Amino acid sequence: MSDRVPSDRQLVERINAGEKELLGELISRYEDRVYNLALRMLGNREDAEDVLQDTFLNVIRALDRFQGRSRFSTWLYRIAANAALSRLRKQNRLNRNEDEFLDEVYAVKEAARSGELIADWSNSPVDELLSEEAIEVMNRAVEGMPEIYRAVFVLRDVEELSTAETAEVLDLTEAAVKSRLHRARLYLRNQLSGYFDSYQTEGAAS
Amino acid sequence: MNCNEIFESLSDFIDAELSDDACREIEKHLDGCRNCRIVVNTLRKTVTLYHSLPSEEVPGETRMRLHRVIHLEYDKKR
Repeated sequence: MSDRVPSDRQLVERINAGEKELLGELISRYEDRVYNLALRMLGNREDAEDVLQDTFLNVIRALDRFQGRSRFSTWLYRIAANAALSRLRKQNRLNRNEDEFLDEVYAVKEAARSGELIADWSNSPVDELLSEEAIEVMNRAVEGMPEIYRAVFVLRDVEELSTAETAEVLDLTEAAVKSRLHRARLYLRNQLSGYFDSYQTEGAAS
Repeated sequence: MNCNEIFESLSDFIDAELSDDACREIEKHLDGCRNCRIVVNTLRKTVTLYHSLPSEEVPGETRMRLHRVIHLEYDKKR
């Protein structure tokens, strides 16, 4: 029995009962995930490290109030997402105009309908596309979205949470998660298209 | 179905969250519409690329500081 790995909930109960030595185990289970979520949301390591610390401080302060109504990971992601959003707010980095964003989202719809030829870079292998420069372009593209689209996208398509879990973390309906995810993906597709298309054209010309 | 009608369902289509009937309708449209086919394929590739982003580990020093700070906070609460 003693070597069985405790569930998150068991860990929380035992830490609340005074087993301080289990704190390290609880943090280790989630620190990388929280760090990556913050990194994708904020775009730099310094801010991500601050959000990581704020998240676990808030978790520890509220741990005895964790009711177990939702999964521990959902509860923790909610605290982490709020910490990241509040940091963006503090830095006044929320002023991305949503109308402008939506214009870009739907530009491809107009292009597809008008019969204008759309560039196809979908056949290139992932390994070939995922250069250091491309990763930088991908990260900057995420930062170009209004924060609520960014949060939905990072939780769903980077952290790979389910629609239902993302809805619970961000206090949205599942329909809202789906519609925001779709717009975020279309926006990012456009941004990557701009990059990969010129990259391939240059490649073909040289 | 035309380009406009399928457009809002493309993420659900990629995530296989549509009914069989709705899927067939979209596939039928894609068969005859090169641009929509490219949008779907590049949209799917976009999602795959973000899924494939290498994840980063918390730097060692930050990790040590985090554990120290959290243990101190735990003591403060008791």
